[in-house]
Amino acid sequence: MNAFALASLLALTPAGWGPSGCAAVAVPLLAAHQIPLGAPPLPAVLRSNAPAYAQAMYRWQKYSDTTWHLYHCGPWGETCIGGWRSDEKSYHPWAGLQWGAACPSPVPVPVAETGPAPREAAVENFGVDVDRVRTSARYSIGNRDVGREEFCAAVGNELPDDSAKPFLTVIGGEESCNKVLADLESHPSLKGVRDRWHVQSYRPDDAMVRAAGFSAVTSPEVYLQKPDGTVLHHPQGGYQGPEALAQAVRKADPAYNPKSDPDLTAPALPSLPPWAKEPWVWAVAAGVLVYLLSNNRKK
Amino acid sequence: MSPAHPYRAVAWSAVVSLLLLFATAPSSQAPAPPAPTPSSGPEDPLAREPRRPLLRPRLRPEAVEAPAAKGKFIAAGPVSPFDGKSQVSCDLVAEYRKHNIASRGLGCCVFRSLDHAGHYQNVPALYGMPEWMVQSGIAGGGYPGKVAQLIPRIARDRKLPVPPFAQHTGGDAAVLELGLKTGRYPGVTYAGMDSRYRGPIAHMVNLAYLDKDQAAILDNNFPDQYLWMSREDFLQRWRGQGGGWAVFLLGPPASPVPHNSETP
Repeated sequence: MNAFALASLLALTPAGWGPSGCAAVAVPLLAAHQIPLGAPPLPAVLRSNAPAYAQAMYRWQKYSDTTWHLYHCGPWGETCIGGWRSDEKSYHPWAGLQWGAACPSPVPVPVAETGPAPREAAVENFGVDVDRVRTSARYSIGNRDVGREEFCAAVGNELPDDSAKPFLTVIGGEESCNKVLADLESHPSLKGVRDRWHVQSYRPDDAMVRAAGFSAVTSPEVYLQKPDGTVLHHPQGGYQGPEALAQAVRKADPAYNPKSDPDLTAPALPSLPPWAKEPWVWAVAAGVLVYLLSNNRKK
Repeated sequence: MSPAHPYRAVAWSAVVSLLLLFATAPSSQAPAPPAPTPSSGPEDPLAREPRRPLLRPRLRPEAVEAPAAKGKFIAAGPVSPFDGKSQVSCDLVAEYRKHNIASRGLGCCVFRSLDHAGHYQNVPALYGMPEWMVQSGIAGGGYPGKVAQLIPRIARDRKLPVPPFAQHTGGDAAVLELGLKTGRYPGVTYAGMDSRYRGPIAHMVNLAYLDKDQAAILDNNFPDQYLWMSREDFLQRWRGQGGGWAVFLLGPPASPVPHNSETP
C-alpha cells in the first residue's frame, strides 16, 4: 500500500475515541493553508511491554504556546489523534495528513488551557523590597524584636499614652537652644521636665515653625503649650534662665496646685492629735453642734 | 328729615377715591429721569443686575462627598472631602514635601517617607535621606532590616544622635491608630490600584489620617495633595504588597499650632 492510499484510508477514518468523541463520521478535510495546528511528530514507539489494556490512554503534548496535540497511547505506540487550540478554544481531529474541522474533544482539554491564563499584572516598584518584608506579624524597636505590648508602650499605649503630654518648644539659634536643652537635662529645678513634657527644639527658619505661626523674634523663644496648642506660657523677653522656666513649668503644669507648694517661711501650725484627723470625729461633732443649736431655739 | 338717598354713600366714596388717586399720582412737573449715557459698544452683561439662580449651585464632586465609600479615591487638601470636617492628623508643610527619587536604579520611597516623618517630627538626622543615599552610593529599595541598618548609619554620618524608631510588619491597624494618636507620622506600605495607579504597586507612603471610616495618605509620588479613601480601602492596600509594614519615629511629635486660650 503506497502512501497515497494510506493517506486516503486515514482520511476516512472515523475520528473519535473516548466517551465524548466526535461523531463517527468521515472527517471533512481542510485545505493545506487552513491547517491550524502544525504537523504532529511521528508516533512514538511504545517502550513498555505492559499489557495493552493498561496502556490504552490519552496524553496531551504541548506543541506551542497555543497548541496541544492529543495522543492515543495504544499497545503498538502513540498515535496523534487531534489537537487543541487554546487561543480559539477549538479541538481539531488529526486525519492522518490534515486537520479536521473543529469538534468536541474526546477527552477533557488540557487543564491549564481551559481558559485564558490569568496574566499577572506587573507590579510597579517604587522602592519596597517586597520579598524581604516579612509578612508575619513582627514588632521591633530599633534593631530589637519586641512583643506587641512593648511596642505599643513605646509608641504610646492606652495607659502610658503620651498624647496628653504638654509641649515645651524652644525656637532659636542652635547654641541658644542647646543651652536650654542642657538646662532641661541637668539643672536641678528642671529635673523631670523632659519626661513630663514633649520637648522640641526648632531653628527659626524651620518651615514647620513659620507655618504654625510661632514667634521667632528673640532667641531663644520658649513656648509652653497644652496638647491642643493652647499657649500656657510665652515670655516676651525670651528665655529667662532655668529658675524662671522651672517656675513657669510648675504653673503651667496641669497637675500644678499652688496650695501644695511648700512654704518654709510660714509659721508651723500646732499639730493635731491623731484622732482629730478622722473625718467621722468631725461629722459627730457637727451633729452634736446642730442638736445643741436646735434645742436652744426651742427653749 | 328726609331719608338719605341709598346711592349717596356710594357717590361720596367714589369722589373720595378719585381725590386720593389724583393726590398720589406722580406730578407732571416731576424732574425727568437722567438721559442714558451713550454706550460705545454692546451692553456690559456684568453691569446688569445678576439673575437670581433658579436652582442652588451644585457642589463640585470634590467638595463634600459623604460617606467615604469603598472604591472612592479623592485627591484633596488636609480636610476630608468625604465629611468636610475631618482634618489630617499630621499635616506636613508643602515646603518639606518632596518627590520620590531613585538611587542606583531603585526607588527610595521608604526613605522619602522617613524624610517626611523626620521633617514633621523635627528629626534633622533624617532630613534628605534619599539624597544622602545617592551621595553615599547606597541603592534604593527598602525593607525592615535595611531601615534598621541605615537610620543609625545616616545619624553617625551626620554626627547626630540616632533617632529612636519602631517597625511593624503584619498589618495590625491598631498600631497605626496608636501612632497617629500620639502624633507620629508613620510610613506605611501601599499597594496602589487607586485613582492614581491602575495596577498593583510596591510602595511606601506616609499615613496622615485614619479613623473608623476614612484614611488619608501623603504619597511621595504625588506629594502636592493627600489621597483620601475609605478605611477599608486603605487597610487593604497597606496589607497588599509588602504585608502591612509600618515605620515610626519614636521621638516627640511636632509642636502643635499655638493659639490663645478661649477663656482669658
